[in-house]
Amino acid sequence: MKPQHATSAVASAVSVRSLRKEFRTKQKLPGLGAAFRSLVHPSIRTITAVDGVSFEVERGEILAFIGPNGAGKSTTIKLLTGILYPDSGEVRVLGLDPHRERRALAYRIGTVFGQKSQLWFHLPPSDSFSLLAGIYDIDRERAKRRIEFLTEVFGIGDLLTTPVRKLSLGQRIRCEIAASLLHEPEILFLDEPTIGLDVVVKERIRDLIRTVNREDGVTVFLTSHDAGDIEKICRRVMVVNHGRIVWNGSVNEMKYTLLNRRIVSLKLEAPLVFSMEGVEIVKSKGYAAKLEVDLTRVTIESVVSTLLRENKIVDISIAAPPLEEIIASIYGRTEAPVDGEQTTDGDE
Amino acid sequence: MAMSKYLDVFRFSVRDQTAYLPAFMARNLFFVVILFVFFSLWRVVFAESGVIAGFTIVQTLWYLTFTEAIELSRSSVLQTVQADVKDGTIAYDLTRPYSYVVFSLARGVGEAVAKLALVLVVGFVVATVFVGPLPGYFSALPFGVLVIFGGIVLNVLWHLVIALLAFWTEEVMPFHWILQKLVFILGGMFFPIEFFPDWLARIARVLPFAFSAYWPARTMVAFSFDGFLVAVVGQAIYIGVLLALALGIFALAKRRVHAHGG
Repeated sequence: MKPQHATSAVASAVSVRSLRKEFRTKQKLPGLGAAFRSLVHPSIRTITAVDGVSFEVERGEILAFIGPNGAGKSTTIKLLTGILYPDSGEVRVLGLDPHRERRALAYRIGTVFGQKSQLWFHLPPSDSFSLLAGIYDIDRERAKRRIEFLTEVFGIGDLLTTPVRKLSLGQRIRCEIAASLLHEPEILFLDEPTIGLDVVVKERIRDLIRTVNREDGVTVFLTSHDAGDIEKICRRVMVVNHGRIVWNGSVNEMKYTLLNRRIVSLKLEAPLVFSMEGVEIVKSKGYAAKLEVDLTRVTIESVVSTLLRENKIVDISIAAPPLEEIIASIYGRTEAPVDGEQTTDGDE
Repeated sequence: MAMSKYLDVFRFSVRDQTAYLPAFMARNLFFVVILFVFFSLWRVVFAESGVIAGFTIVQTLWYLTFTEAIELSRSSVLQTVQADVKDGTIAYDLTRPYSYVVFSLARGVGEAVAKLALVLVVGFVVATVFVGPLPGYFSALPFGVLVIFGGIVLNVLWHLVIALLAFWTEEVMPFHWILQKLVFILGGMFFPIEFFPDWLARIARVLPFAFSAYWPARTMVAFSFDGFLVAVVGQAIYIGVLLALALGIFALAKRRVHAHGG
């Protein structure tokens, strides 16, 4: 079911093999007695955040890394950027071991994390850019050229001298992404880049991400809950749940093969007359109808030919279900592994 | 090249403070009130004898001006680092090519220096109005500026060390209050250490707290080159010790980031 993505070790920007990470946290039980008992004999819960994950990301790829809250996305990104070390398995990012060579890797990756802005709140973005140029050891001339290039691509010329606190969220995100690209990183990690933005600004940010990928050849590793981000920017999507990868393939493959369902929308000259095994009439009102076809039980061809034979059709469209539904369905069908979480007694 | 990035952080931190300076200026009213209260108190005390432990009322009030200037210009590094640790965002700093400890030190010192410049000007005006000019102010100033700066660096380092304890205790303000009281009392914040009994003065002079308050202020109001050298060497030693401590704590603390998944 899960398609294998064609990869090459040489071309890989990220290579992950059997990666595993557990967290042990003290449990606070209710009651005063339990509080005292836990001082002597703490109850520890072990959570497997990443459970034997393997994948590759090619250079120049735009990959969506998605999953529900607590699925292991954030932990995986922290393992890839060297913030966390793995309990077992192997991680290589641009050929480097992120945890052991974190400082060297920092010069070659860019990160945009919603929780931590790299722009100084009271200073204009141009000041933050100059400071970041210093932090990344970029010489003045190169920094100037790079800032000019990013200013043009991101259309932020008129924002450069406005204090960051006075920028709108969309303007700030544009400046954040531009700041993360100042040192010409080979991989850009973006955590929810379009969250909270309106439709027009979202579209602009998506355009910019595509442009940066095309112009600079930057590999983009993106987490998002927005199906639009995934559909419009990414070619490949990886779904993680309960610490495991439950889908790794192209967005199109996901849409067309994962759920064997199609939505047929009809406009008719008379009310719908139709009944067929494997087809559910989702909605039928007046001269319009919507059908859901289960492709494991019936072919789309036989459904359409039957419809045409028995009804006078004005218009017909056949579509895959919306991506949100597909993603929700993937989350829903992956249950927690039995050994994913366990509680033990003992010292931390 | 490596140090220049931290000088940049210092520079931009000074600049960043310009946004807060109007609010900070308003807080300086508190400074004026403190100086007035102590001026009234010392006037009564010094009415009996013109000199106490070698200090005149002019020197004593100016002494308080300098110790309070260092205290009032403290940076927000304690709150910032504690918040970074508590909400886990400190993890994201690990993806940047700098030392978080030295970055925070540079940012904190930049913030404190910007505030200090303003407080010193206010202090100069207020103390001059209350007790008149300080004899030898301008000749002591080049040396005094250096050790006042040293006092500020020490304060930022203390706050950094305390804030990093949040990895273990989450709430660190009690540690801060204890330190603050030690600086107030043993560090000679309110009056020169010379006012203590001899045995206590001997101990207090060599403790680190005195190098945040007493030694910088004494360099300004009772300048001697020997005293200045003691201040500089003592500050250098304690800055080295506290920086090593902060780096050591952070190295240990990074394992906590790992244990809790950021």
